[in-house]
Amino acid sequence: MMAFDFVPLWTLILGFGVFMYVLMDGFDLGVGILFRRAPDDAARDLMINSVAPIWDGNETWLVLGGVALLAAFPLAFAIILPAVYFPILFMLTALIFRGITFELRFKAPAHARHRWDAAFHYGSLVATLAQGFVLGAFVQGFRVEGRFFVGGAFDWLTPFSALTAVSLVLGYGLLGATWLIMKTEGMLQDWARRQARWLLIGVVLAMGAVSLWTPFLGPKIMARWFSWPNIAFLSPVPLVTFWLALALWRAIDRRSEFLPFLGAIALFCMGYIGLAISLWPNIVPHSISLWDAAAAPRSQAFLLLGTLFLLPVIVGYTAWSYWVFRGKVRAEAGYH
Amino acid sequence: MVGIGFLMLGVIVIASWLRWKGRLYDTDWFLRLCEACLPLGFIAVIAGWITTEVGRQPWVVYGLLRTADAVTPSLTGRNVLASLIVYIGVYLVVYPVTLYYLVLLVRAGPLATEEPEQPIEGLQRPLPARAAAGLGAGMERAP
Repeated sequence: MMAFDFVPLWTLILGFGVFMYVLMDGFDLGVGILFRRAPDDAARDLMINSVAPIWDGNETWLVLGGVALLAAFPLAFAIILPAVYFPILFMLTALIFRGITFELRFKAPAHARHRWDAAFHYGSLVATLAQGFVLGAFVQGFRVEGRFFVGGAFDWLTPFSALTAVSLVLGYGLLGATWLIMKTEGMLQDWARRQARWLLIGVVLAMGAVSLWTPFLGPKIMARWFSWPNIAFLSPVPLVTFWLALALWRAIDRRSEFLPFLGAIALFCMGYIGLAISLWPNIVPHSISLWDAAAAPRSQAFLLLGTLFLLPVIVGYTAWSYWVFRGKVRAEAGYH
Repeated sequence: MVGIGFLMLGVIVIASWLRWKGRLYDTDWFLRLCEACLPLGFIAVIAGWITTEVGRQPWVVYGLLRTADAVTPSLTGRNVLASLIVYIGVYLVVYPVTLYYLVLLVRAGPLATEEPEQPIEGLQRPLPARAAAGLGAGMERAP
């Protein structure tokens, strides 16, 4: 009997989980990144209330992505996680401080509140920077021998990963600002529009810089994008991205409520597609393919059974909670 | 952990008996017993955790993979120590701070707050009864 190849399906599940995480925790981390720049305390209360009911649900996807990587592609997990041990450690500690802020900030006496504001802001910022460093180090590839990572504990710290870290801060900031345009009104919304404009300029520059740098990271990536006929097929990717950025700018200008957030999501989508094109079919860039890293087909089949029940449930309750908390956030309605 | 489990079950049995008798809320010694039981849950969780973590040694996957063989090759002792210190630091901040706020809350005592008109934020349909009583005024009507 021919064995069924579960790898494409698991690739889709993993890709979907990671992308959902980036989008959803992206905008609530983005709100944290913008937090300290907010015009006043009333604005900060509204900002934190706009993400308080959903932020922890958003982090479900981080767990799903991590577990899918461990269960379906154990070799990739065993190489990538040790290579980015410290950024992951920084990310987790930052997420802890950010997470308790949601619970304790409103219980704090007024004079101590600025400490929680700082915990929320720097927690979001450090978590995002750490994720950006992980992304950059991942795209650059790791020193691998056989089935092990053989590099050092700080190999992830490079000029390229610093660029991706800053880019991700700008990107999450843009998601956060456009989310606030959608969820708030009046002065705070106007402020969010101004932030979104600056951040969009930053994101376009950052995406351009990363896109120009990435092909120089490996001859295969260069060939993937610039050999004939690939260049003809793939040229729509940067063109569509640029068009989307223009459309997003105009949507902010025309004071759309919902379109800027959609535009920011679409920009992230294009970045993700670009990354997938550069790295396919490797799960550890430059060294290990999806198929080499896959668990035994029987393990993948077993895990798939549970995941196919679980995934619709997660998508369902996520959609439900966004539906319940739809509309603008108001000052009088609290989360607790 | 198992002992504490039975102790908790015992408290539940007593509570059920008192409830049956209608004396659950005014039996002095029982309320003091409940107060004394407060830390039991934490002790049980930590004791259970220690039992499994010590009991599984020297295996990571019982009978298949030894702890010594499961160590990440690239990870040095210094790295592990550094991360352990970071986690200890985080816990030393997070737990005392949370405890401090818990104590503040307990000291403040229960507040007699009214049910908020909108228990959660977002657009909600006014309940028919509330709308009839005129409480729905000012609430956003869902389209």
